[in-house]
Amino acid sequence: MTGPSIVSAERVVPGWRAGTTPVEGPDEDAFTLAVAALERLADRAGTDPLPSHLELVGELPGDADALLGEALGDAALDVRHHAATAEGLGRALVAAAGPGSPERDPGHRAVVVVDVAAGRPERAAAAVGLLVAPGDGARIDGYASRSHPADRPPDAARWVDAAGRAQPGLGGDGPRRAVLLAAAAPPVLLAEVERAFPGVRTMVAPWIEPGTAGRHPATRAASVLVDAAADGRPGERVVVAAVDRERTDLLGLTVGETPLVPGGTAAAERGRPTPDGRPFDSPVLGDGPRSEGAYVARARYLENLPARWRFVGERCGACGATTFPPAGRCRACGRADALGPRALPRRGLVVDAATTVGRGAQPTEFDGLVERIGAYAVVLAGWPGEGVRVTLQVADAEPGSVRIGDAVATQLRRLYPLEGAWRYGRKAVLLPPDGADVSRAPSAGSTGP
Amino acid sequence: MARRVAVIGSGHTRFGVLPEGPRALLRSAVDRAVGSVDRGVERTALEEGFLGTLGIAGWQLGNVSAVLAEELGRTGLPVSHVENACASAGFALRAGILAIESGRRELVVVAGVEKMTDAPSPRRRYWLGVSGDTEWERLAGLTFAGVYGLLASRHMHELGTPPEALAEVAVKNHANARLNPNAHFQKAVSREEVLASPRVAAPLGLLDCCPVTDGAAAVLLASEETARRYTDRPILVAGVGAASDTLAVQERATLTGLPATRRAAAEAFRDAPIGRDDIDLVEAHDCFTIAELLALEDLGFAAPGEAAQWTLSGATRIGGRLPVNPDGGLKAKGHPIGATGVSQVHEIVLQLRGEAGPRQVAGARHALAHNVGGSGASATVTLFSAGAG
Repeated sequence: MTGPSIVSAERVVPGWRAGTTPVEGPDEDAFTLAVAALERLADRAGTDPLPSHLELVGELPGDADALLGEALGDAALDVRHHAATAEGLGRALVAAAGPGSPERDPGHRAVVVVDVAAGRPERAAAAVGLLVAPGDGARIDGYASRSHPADRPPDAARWVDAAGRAQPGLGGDGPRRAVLLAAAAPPVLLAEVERAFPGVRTMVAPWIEPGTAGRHPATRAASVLVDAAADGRPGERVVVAAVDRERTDLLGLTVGETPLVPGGTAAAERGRPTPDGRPFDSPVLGDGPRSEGAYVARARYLENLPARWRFVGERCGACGATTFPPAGRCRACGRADALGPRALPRRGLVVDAATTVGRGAQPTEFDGLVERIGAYAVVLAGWPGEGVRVTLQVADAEPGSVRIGDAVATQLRRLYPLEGAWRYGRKAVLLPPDGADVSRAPSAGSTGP
Repeated sequence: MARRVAVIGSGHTRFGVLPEGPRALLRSAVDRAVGSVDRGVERTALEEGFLGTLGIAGWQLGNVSAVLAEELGRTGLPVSHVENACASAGFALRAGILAIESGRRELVVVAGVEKMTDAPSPRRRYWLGVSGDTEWERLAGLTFAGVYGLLASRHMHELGTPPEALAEVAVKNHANARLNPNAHFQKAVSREEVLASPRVAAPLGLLDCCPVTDGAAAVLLASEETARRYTDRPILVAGVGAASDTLAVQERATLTGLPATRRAAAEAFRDAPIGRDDIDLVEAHDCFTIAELLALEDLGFAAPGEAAQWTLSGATRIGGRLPVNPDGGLKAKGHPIGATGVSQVHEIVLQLRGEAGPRQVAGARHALAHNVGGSGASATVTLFSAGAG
């Protein structure tokens, strides 16, 4: 166990779509959700660039974890990938809360948990991000784990013992709570905890349904952690338990002095099928495009990721102009010897032109998308003052709702399948008039007893 | 000043959904061009050939120009394939003009062909989409309809062009096509029908788009001196211009026009003995209705934002101040990609010789042909004048 590392109250930030908010788009998966969660963390915590150390829990497609560094702008990003189990979550939290590596930025580190059910209509995808920094606020008090036979619930006595190890202060004074999640653990455990630790109030995450929670404990665990930290009173000691079919992982923490970012997990998880009732993505990747598409070699795709994923263009040191996409030569003055990288912001673009592509006018790569959603918008959007634009498909918006002059942000999404794998790139998302983030904000306090 | 070049003959197949394959179409076009020469021409007099085609669906990717020599019955002739997407034939025409201007050749054939309806729709859409920018435009979900939809949205937003003006381009060109037996569409459309047609790339609807069409066209070019041996009524090339632009629209400073057209027009008029006021009719590249409005402005006839009023007032109809696309244009005559730039010249030959029948522009003596590649990555502008008898 690491020493009493600190989770700053201000730095415990629910990630984008914190909790188990349903995924609405047909172009999202665990990877895009992880990136979105991290970007939202950076936005809300004011840290940019993002943490150089990332603990990742969940299943990512292909080599997506290796590409996270590219998505986040840090090729040297230290990504540790844990299985989407309660144990994986516990390890990620402990690692993130532990002392920083002396060779690298010892400051912020991030934990991102993605739901392995991403993209399935019957179970929404979600990603939760926690940004962890040494400092003040909540403290991680301990971690414990107990295995148990898969065919019967955890032994109550051993479970209570583990809870006490994870949170040594659970038997002491002050407000205390225990949060239990996973339907595999019967309510009798709560009674055992309350009997073992007089004064402790227990709660169960309300969305847990038999047959689901045991399969995807990780996302719920992180959601509850966010909730527990946000909802707790200063000094309150909390134990969070994630019960898997084969093991229980427990994490103890003490809520800090600084008020936490309001919020919590979203309402009960619910699937959102496509209009025709079919799964979001089931036939697309398997079948690939219905016919040949424009061929962009994988090497070229990878070569262009900095521009496509992070809008890295070029700035001319001679004339100051921005060139995007990067061209190896200043588009304004033609000089090639004074170019340096210039990352354009991922939000704050303004729509210069807009169209809605309907059935029959889509490139073959987007046949599957059109079949599912009927039509999609594409815009030319520019960065004010930069003199450069980019062509972006619009995500999560009714066709026709995007208008010239609208401000848009961008998110990494699936673009199209090629050679059995998804290609990713940025799409535009609409911003509400006040400029706030458009993502479905978690509703407050829904995990309260 | 380079020596002058003249068109001495032209041929044109029907445009539409045709049973013939690309070879048969090409053969038909060159046979008609050869047969159209007033005093006849021996095929052995032809010295070189230029072929415009995109090669939709990949029926023959490399060395396709050899097919031109074969179908002409002149295997052995030096031939080249010129490819600039929808402006392939415009650039093939220009290559033929330059070959004669240079003094190297006296008599050349320029042809264009496209067989578009052989391939199933997905395969065809694949081919049409790869002439725009692949990395940023296509893979954001755009084909050319979408790119022109973007341009239309900006033109409407910035210059106040109303949807009715776009629709009127379709109405006019469909009406003109009914007077052209070679045209793909032989059916008039109303403004209401155009406005109510399904949106394929809003603000563009299905009836704002040119059809998928098979066809071929061919012209014979000669030096002015040589031309006099074959005809007393040559059609003289009065000016030729060509230009390029960025492949991707996102990198252009303007979204309300196609700078390549402006550059090509400036070059064409620079050395020409005629000016814009002399032009009696325009064959404009109207792959989408918005494109005809852009052309009117980029070619320098209408001021920015005024093409809509020109169109709504009837100025571009046959009998109007400046008839545009009397043959129905790409919009209604059809747009077999690689044939269009030569097809436009065929119409101009008919018009300047007074042989255009019910769609004749009265007293036409000077005409302009405008051919655009994709969304403006390339463009040609060629000026023609009726030669003195």
